[in-house]
Amino acid sequence: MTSEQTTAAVETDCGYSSPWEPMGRSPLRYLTSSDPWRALLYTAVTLLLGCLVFVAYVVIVLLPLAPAWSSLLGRIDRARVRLLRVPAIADPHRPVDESLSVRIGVRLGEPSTWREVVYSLVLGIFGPLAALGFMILGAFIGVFAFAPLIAANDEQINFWTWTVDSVAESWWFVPMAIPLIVVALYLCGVASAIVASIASWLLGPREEELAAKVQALDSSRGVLVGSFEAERRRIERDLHDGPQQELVGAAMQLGELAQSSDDHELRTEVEAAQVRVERALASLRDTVRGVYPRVLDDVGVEAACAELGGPIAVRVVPSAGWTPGRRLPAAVERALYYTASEAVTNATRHGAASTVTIELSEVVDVVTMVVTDDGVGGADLARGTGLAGLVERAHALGAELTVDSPRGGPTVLRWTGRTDR
Amino acid sequence: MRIALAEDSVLLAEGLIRILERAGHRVVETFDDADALRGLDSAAVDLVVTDVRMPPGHGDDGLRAALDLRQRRPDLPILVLSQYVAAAYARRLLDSGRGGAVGYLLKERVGRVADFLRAVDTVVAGGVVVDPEVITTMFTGHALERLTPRETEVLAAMARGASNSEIAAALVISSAAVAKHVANIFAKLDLPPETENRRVRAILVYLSHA
Repeated sequence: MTSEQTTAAVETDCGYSSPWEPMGRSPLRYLTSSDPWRALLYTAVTLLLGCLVFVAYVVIVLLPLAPAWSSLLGRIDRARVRLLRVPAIADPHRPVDESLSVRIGVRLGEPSTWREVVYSLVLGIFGPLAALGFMILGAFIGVFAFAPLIAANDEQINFWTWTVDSVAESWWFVPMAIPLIVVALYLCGVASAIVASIASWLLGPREEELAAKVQALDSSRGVLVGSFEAERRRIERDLHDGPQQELVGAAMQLGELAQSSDDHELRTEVEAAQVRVERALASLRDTVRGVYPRVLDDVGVEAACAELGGPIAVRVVPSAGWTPGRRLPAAVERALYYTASEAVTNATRHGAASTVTIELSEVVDVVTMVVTDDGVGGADLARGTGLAGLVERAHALGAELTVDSPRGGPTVLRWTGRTDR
Repeated sequence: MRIALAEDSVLLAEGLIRILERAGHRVVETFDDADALRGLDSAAVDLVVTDVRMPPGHGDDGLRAALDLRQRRPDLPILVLSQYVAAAYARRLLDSGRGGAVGYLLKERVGRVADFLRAVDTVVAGGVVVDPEVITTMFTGHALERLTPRETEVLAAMARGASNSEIAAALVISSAAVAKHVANIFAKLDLPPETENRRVRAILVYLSHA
């Protein structure tokens, strides 16, 4: 565990799930902890912000811009509750990466923006009123606590029917400040808890907003996969139309040259060059196939998997319900193919395998691919970024990819998903 | 002989025409589009040479167009030049017609001019030419290693063109024993009875690995 994780864990340990929680503990524990002082600070900032908002609303010019600065206030106050050792409030806004004008449009259309305005109104009313209350309370505490000082200055203290005019008498007041301070601290606690509760109620996400957020995330993941796919296709096409054609042309020209010359030495040289070009083409072919397998599009996943061999033997076994030449939705085919491809690569590179068996089956719209190798095992999802990416990819399709790879082998990958989505 | 050529890369088409014409063949029609190739009057040519990946779809359009031509004239010799070591394409080609008069070569083999021209002649004569690299993937997995020494001997004799009775005589065993060995070879090389040209395919495996 890194030090960062440790701190996070410690923080969660003494954090609260609700701002009311600390005051529920025994008064001794509450008053000796830092919580009342945190509440005091929180309340002080609340009052300050509240008064600022009050001024902003009273100075009518700032009213039309209420959504803008309320949104800023919302952002501050979502984080500010952490002062009370409760988790920050989640942001209900949808992420928007467009131009400023588009962003303003989206924000104005979101209910959460208007809830922020309501929150600012609440704060604008609560702030000045509470500030008044706390000022009166503060004055009392000040008078009680510093009574001897006031009396020493020959000031008169009137408390109901009780008039104090000697320093000796004024000492009776001092202990009375203590319960008042306790009351004030609890009041701060209550005030901060009220504000924090209102904040989480008004500034936090509603259920449908959470759902929309999840959906937006899902579709952006889909877009990401799609754009990778498009990029792979483009690279494959570029390689095919560019370097591959040129190299084939060169091989052809060299062949013609070798044909037309009678010079034995020249012919040997040209043939050597030809071998080099052929080798370049062979390695280019492997690269191109890794980037984007044309056979997958043209013939399907079964044929494409059968061609994964190369250095090791790959057997594709159609099993229960799988008809030869079966085509699946393109996204499913690609997910299956890349999974099989990664499995074969891993089996060759890390697993020291000599044979990989790919079993395809389909039962009532559920397709299953089981890739088994005869290697040494020990593949770890957590370490291999390739496999982890494929698990992600499977999830994006609502499918499941599991890896079972005990030390000593065999490694078994199982991909299961529906074909009708 | 009269050849129809389908290749959308001008560079490669010109090179192919030069090589074929220098060898005394005549390229009578050229296509840069698979749909146009489909309209070919197959009676007017002795051989179709085509690329796999072609417009309009830039998928396996060229191959599919050639297979369509094959449907209309099953004995039409077809030589496919491809950039892919794709057993699936070669298999479809071999399965078309009666398995003869087809060739599947990687494009760069054209550079080995003499070999390429021999392949052209073989296909036109009704034979089969498959790129060794493609064969390796067609028959995956060291299939030959599963053969017994006796079966390997039988297969080697088959590759030399010997008939079953000739093999029986050469190895001093009964014809029935030869037939049994041959059946075992087919089974071990994953060649079920419905496979076309099993003998040719078994030989190809042997030649590509030997």
